[in-house]
Amino acid sequence: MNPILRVENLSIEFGGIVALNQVNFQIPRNQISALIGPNGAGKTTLFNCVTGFYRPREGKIFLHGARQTSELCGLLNPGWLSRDLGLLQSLQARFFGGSHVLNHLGVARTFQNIRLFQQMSVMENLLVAQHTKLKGNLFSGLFNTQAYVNSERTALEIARYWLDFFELSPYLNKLAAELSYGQQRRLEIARALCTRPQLLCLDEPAAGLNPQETAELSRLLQRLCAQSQLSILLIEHDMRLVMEISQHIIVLDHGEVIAIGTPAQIQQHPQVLAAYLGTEYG
Amino acid sequence: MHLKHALKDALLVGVLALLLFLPMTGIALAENYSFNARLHVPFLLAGMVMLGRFIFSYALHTYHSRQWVKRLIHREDRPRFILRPQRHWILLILFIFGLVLPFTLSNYGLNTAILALIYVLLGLGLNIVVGLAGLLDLGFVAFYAVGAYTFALGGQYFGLGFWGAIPVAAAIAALCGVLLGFPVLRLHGDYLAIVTLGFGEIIRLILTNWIEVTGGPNGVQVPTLQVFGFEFTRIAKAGGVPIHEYLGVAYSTAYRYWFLYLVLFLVVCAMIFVLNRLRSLPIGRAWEALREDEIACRSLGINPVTVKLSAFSMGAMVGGVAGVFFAAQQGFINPTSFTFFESALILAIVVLGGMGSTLGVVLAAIVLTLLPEVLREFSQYRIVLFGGLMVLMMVWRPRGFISLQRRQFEGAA
Repeated sequence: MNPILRVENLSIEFGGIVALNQVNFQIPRNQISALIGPNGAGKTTLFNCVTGFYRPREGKIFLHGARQTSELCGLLNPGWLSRDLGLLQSLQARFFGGSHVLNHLGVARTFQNIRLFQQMSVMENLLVAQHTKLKGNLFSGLFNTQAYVNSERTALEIARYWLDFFELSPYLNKLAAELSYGQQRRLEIARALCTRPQLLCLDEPAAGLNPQETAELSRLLQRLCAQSQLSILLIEHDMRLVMEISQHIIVLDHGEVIAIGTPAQIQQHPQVLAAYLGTEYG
Repeated sequence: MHLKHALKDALLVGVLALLLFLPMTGIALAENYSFNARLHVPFLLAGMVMLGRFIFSYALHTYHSRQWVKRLIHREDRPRFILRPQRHWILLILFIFGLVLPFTLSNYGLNTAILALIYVLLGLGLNIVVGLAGLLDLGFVAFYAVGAYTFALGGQYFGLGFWGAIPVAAAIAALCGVLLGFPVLRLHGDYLAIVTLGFGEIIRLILTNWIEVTGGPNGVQVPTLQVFGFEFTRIAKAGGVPIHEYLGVAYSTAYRYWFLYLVLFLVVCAMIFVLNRLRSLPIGRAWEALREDEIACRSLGINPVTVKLSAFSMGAMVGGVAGVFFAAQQGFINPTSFTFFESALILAIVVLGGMGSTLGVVLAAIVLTLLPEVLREFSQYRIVLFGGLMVLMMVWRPRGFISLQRRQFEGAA
């Protein structure tokens, strides 16, 4: 296996409650992987570690990007002067959190409860996502220099591409708050994709969607994975969706990995069945 | 049914009112230190309360009044008027009107107009911090004070002139903005408001108590206004040439105000242009995104630290420039001009104009500075009026009366 993400001995606890305990797994490149488990298993906690919102107590997370391999926990918890980050970024990561750096390395995510910029238009949401890619400072923008105009044109093109892909083109000037729930879910994925990630983490993308919208989403995600150099990791409770689109499944329960395998293997796995349905002998 | 309910309600309230009013108004102190009973007063007052309550609760139970109340408190989240960019000619007319205006005004009118423009500038500055970036700042007056004192003290100690003071004050105020920004980076909402409030007070207290440098409560003289060697006084004070002598016209105090007004007007126009442009630039979008959702910003790779600091420093810069004009207009400044009430007033301008709406802020600033002048006779009720306006604004149009249209994008070709 040629993994994009490798998690080693990841542990984190909140006030004595062990949320993740010695978690080990790998995520294959250019495939859809699913992270499943009962409520409270630690799925979202794991997500927050991978995307930099939590700092794990111990363990390592390696992102094997196209150009370089980075150890994410070290970036979030640097010393005073980390060689990868430089002085200012290290200080910032120490005092104010540096999770935004992980996005620059190619990790993008969506949220369980949609977090769009509600009072901004659909297109503006997608342009904000390309903030770090837009060339130029205040003055080149104010005076419309050629470099700025060009980079904005590229950003608009990328935004239009994803709008088209997620069938949101007619709504580009609407406020995000005015979209339907399903459209908001799709816009959030489009926004994450606008940051040009290598690993896309989706936190319950089908939550709150009707069966038709879920089928639509499943089609879009499969197309997405097939045509772009993208690995997808998703948390989902809709088992039909998970079994349909994912090639690789990781099952968490009580903060521990209880099974890893293909959908067919997972469906037969005795421990998974026990975790979801309970055991006969208590 | 309603009648019975309303009567019962009124009776209960009446009894309560009577209990309250009896000791408060029923006994009067007589001249010889004894008490006189004046029982008709509490009964009259309680009767009035009862009647009012009856009318109120009876009216509220009818269908029509309910509909009316529902309409009244139905909040619309978008401004009613949206100014499209196609209507540039309106802006052009306003611009020319603004240029011609000072020559038609008396000195009193000019002074008021300059004050109004200063508040427009302050409103625009705070609008960046509160309206766009969503960081509630209750100490904005600090930057205003820094700007004003930079001009006054810079002139006194380093011979800083008016033109030099503008960029220097902008830079120092921006630096103060960053200084304030750092400790509050991790704070939100109420906590942020408290710290910024404290910052405003700290600056004022420093200005009041550092007597050797700032002159303390006695204030400090602002250097005479001098532009390219010309002065606006009757006799040259700072070694320049009085402008009326150079031009060979009669002396008038209005010249100084005209000059100040015109420069200030151009600065305000430039600021409006820049702010509007900023909103469609990456940094302006990042500010707005930060207001909407900081966590989402971080997940998209935006560094919230730099975005917040840039908002604080940009806002502070504008406030500092406004301070220079204030000092130039007043000719003499002391710390009493920079109290918390000023911060509250500037915040009222931003809230009244509608958070984040540039045009609304301009209108609100003009209204809030002209209102006290128009309502001189009712000056005691001014604050009540402000409060009432703010409440109505929050209920009806939290996003302002008027706004420029958001940037429209073209679809895929």
